[in-house]
Amino acid sequence: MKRSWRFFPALWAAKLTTVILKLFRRNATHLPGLVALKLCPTFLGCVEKPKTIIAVTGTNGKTTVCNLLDDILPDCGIVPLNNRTGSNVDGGIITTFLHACNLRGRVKAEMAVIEVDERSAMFVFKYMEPDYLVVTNLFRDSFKRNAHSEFITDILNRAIPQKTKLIVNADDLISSHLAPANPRVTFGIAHREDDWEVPQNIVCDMVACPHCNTALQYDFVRYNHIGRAHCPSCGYGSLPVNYEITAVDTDAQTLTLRTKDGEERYRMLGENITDWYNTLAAVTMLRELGIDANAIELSLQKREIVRSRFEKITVGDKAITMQLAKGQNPIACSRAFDFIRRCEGNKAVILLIEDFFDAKHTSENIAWLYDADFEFLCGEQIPQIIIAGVRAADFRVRLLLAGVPDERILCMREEAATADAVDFERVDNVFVLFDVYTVPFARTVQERLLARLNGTQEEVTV
Amino acid sequence: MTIEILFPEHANLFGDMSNMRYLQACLPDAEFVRTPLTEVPYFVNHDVDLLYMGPMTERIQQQVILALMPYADRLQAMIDGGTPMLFTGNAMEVLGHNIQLENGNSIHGLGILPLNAKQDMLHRYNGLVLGRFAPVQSDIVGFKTQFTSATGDNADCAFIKTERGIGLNKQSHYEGFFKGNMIATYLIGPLLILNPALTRWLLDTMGASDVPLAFEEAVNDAYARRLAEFCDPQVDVEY
Repeated sequence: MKRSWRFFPALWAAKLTTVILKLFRRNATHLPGLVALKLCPTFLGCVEKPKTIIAVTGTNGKTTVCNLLDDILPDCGIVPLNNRTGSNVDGGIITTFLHACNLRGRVKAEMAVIEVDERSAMFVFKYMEPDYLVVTNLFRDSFKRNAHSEFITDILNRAIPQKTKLIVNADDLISSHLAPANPRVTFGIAHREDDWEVPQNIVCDMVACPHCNTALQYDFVRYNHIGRAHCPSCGYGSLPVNYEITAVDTDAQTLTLRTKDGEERYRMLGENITDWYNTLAAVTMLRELGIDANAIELSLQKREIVRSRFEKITVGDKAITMQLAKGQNPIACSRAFDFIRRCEGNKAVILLIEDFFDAKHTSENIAWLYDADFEFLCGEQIPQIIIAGVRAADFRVRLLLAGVPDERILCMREEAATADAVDFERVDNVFVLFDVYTVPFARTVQERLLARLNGTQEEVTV
Repeated sequence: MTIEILFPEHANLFGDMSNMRYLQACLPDAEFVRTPLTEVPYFVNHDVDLLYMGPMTERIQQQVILALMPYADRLQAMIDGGTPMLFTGNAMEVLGHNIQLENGNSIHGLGILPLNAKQDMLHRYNGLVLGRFAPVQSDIVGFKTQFTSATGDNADCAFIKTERGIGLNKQSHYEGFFKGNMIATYLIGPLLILNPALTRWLLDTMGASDVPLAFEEAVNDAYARRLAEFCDPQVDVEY
């Protein structure tokens, strides 16, 4: 794109904004980009970019996939420009390029890994054409922002540049068929024993063929619409898989992949199947860049799931598991609930997933609770479900409709009090589910639980 | 007792199917007929005690209109005859005169309600609604999340007159339609769970006045708390 005369004044003003913000010890991860955008609406198109741009989008897992790429690439000799510390919408992405370029608008990095919010794709891809676009999956997300998956699909179909090569999840019929004219590479996980024959979740957005409305036939379904399916009438269905996990060894903690170059083995990061999908998406992207499988594996050996997303602490024979669940995202919550029900032992679940910001100024739209599979929390192995916050009464009703007996539900007004309500004589593992914005509450609860287990806090009768 | 759910494989956005799960909890012996989009609706050849359709994508909405168009007269006769019905979210627009699409084209609805809708896919409206449902003299609480707004003369046949939040559009205080025993509303989500008095009225209208509400104490508690929030002027009704 030809540089506008506004570009350099915008660049310098935004750089100055960064300096001022840093003088006041403020994060300069978004505002400088907004300043640049205000002064030069085509700034993102004008700024010099690295030779190779990888964009990552999708409903769930895009941050994790970006983090993996950002961590592994330097071990392979490539230091990518990334928006890890900033936001994944226009202001944050512009700020990323702004920080990377000098006062003459030159960028040194040879590669960029940019996380892109699905809704921002229309703006971002107009000015930044990615060479590769990794799409982790597409599901229903926040009703108020994302409406429904067809709305997001439509945005992406209109936004994805023709030259972009897609790295897509073959087990997701929605995202794998994006931009049908574009070249693509697919990843997936082969049929597993614990897969289902028909959808089990409340939400399944691929029940009927989008071309002829005939009921789809699932070869297997893993969760929601994730699985492999075909239309018996018109031939529509799941795409062939280029990079496929064919075996998971939970003892050895390895994932075995079938690739065009033969069988490859990688370290398993995390116990949840969504962790495996995220690892697979990153590995597929790296392999498509031509990075050696051994180099990827060596780097994976050093990686951990980010502590802010999943953390398990064991004290004696008890455990406390902190798990990000993302409020208003019914699929993310359902994955967390499914993970809990599959874990052995008696469990208490603490829910800190109401919307922190809505609670400050409005009344949260709780319709999403009814798209999330609270039914997974019905089992007798979950004798306590403890809820805190202003929406506790709504969670109680939702749990009752799910079939959870009332005597297993405890409602608290204050988040911190949930830790005192856990009955450690009846449970082995406490799962604390929290939202991105309720991390401080979750940490307080975690500390109180640990204090109780370590005997450094007096027992409180609730 | 027979309840028909129209096109549940598609018309199930925004947690609205919870309304049927709640009715199932209230009416464990009722028969729920789930009609897919590819089949002739059950109501065409049978009487039903409740007809329900939830919100759907804009693409599916056009297909639903085509599927129901041959049965518009039958639907009108059922409304005139007092069959209880519930249409939520953009399912209401299916019953209207037309929908102006984002590209400027219009599609005809079933022509049953005096309603003209207009899509604006760049601006999504999210908000709360508090209003009065006349038959039970009770406050209704609900949520909106939509790309469309509508115009139409519903002042004397609105589902609720709003006290907070918007009606068919930002200038309107009249939300949805109430004709015979048919409710059509832009409100989405677990409407029946949020509003025990509305559910009580619906069950009574369906002939199930002896049936208690499921989880009555819990839904009443949640309703009372929400009503207090919605009445609080400090609580924003748009976000």
